[in-house]
Amino acid sequence: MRAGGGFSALAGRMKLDIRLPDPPAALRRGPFRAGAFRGALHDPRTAVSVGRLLGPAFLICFVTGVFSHLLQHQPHWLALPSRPVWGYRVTQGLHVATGIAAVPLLLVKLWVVYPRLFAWPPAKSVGHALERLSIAVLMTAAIFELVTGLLNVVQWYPWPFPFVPAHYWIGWVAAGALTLHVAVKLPLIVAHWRRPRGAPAASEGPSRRGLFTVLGAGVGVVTLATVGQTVTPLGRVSVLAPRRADIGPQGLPVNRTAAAAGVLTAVRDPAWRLEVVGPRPFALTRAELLAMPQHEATLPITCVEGWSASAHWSGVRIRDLMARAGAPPGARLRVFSHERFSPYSVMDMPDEWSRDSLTLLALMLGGAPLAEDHGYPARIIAPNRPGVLQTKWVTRMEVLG
Amino acid sequence: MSTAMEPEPGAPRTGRAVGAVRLVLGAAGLAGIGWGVAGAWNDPFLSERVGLAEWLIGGLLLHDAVFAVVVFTVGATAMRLRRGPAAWVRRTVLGGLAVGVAGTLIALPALLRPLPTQNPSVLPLDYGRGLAIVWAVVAAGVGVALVVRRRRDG
Repeated sequence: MRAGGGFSALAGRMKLDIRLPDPPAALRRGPFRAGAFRGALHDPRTAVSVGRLLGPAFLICFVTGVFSHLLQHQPHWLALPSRPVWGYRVTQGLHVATGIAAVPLLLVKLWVVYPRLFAWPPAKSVGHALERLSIAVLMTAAIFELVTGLLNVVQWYPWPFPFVPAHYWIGWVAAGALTLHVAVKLPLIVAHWRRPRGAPAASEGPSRRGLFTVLGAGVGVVTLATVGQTVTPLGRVSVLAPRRADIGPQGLPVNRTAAAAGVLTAVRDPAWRLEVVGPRPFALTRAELLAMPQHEATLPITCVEGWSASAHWSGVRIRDLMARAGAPPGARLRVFSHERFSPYSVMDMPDEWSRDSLTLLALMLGGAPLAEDHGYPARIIAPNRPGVLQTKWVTRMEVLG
Repeated sequence: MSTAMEPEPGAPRTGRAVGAVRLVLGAAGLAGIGWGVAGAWNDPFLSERVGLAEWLIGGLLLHDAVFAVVVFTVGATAMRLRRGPAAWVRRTVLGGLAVGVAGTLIALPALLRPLPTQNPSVLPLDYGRGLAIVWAVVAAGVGVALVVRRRRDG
């Protein structure tokens, strides 16, 4: 097998190396001309060097993204742990930070290989045409994931489809197309993994080292400018972060306000009661909840959009409320919010979380009653869970068998 | 150096192990693409397939037909101008420009998002000011790089 035979060699066994007729030479104009791109850095070695960084970045995005999806749509057969408390904070922070860092990485990778877009002939064989098609699929999916992710981070949805399923499914396409791309290019990757021995570094002209300096600076700038939304000590450095951990009601950001959720009337009603349904159902006012044994926990709120902030919560342990309702061991909990018309107005809590001593029905935040925007009169706070499952404005809890 | 992605002569031949890995990765990759496409196709919430296709293809076209064309035109023009500073100075400035553009792309969603959000904790900063700081830092970095190299080369 000829190294770098690409898809043609792989496809040869599948009889895809059927030659296609060359187009008329007269059509070879503009960027298709030989030597239209003069730069020295549009070579396989540079493409492999950048790919070695971009590939792992996409892998991190894919793995952390699937993990986040599983946490939010947890199948019954899959038990996930409620510890470490900072687990989701790290994985989702990494997901968004790596996605942002992948923007300069992808643009530099595409810059390196852009002349290949004008290869002549455009398709040598059926296999070559399929290889180019697979690269178009990879680019399409990769650009889509980065663009939709960046806009989701600022809660901007200018497209006619829901973000979550589109970003999720196209993420699978991107991961698959990247894996296929590595398979197609593997001989080339192996051949150019190391710098050829004895090859002198160019003293004049554009150097790979110079390109990597620019790439490193680009990744550094976009990362420092945004990562403070989750690495909170860098908050003041991150001048482009969509969130800052200390800006919001009670010094904590909010994803959906009480007004936006349409719950203001319900949560201000003096007749508010928490209803707990189980073998021994009961209902409690906020004052009665405050009269129960109170527990404290310092837990982060971590949003799927990549920001996170730690806060000091206190309230009643969920497992105490479930025990009072006569819940059998291992029972799941279904929590209802006053918020309607949201996919997260009903939340199921597996027993890994409901029996955890840190999982609270929080009543206080930082020593003061919860702000309405933080879920007054009562909200869920649990370790290692996405923010959308930290249900606010709780009205009712049901013990499930 | 060749601009072609074909291997240089004398590139090492690849053995059976690489061939086997390629087949496994290739099959896994095709399976991943198939899973994603089938999932998107069958997802009841993704019934707006034309809109989804427009956004998918639009991103590719925006890069290949607009962004890359501008980048290559600017780069080629800057390097081919007869008068002006030495090539290494131009390259350093172009590198700084690339870093600034990366920062700008990251800032664009915050700058272009229409309708101020009803939630004061979303986008709480002045992003125009933030972007100006990014460009100032990049310009300072380019300045330092130019001075360091000029001193080194004496």
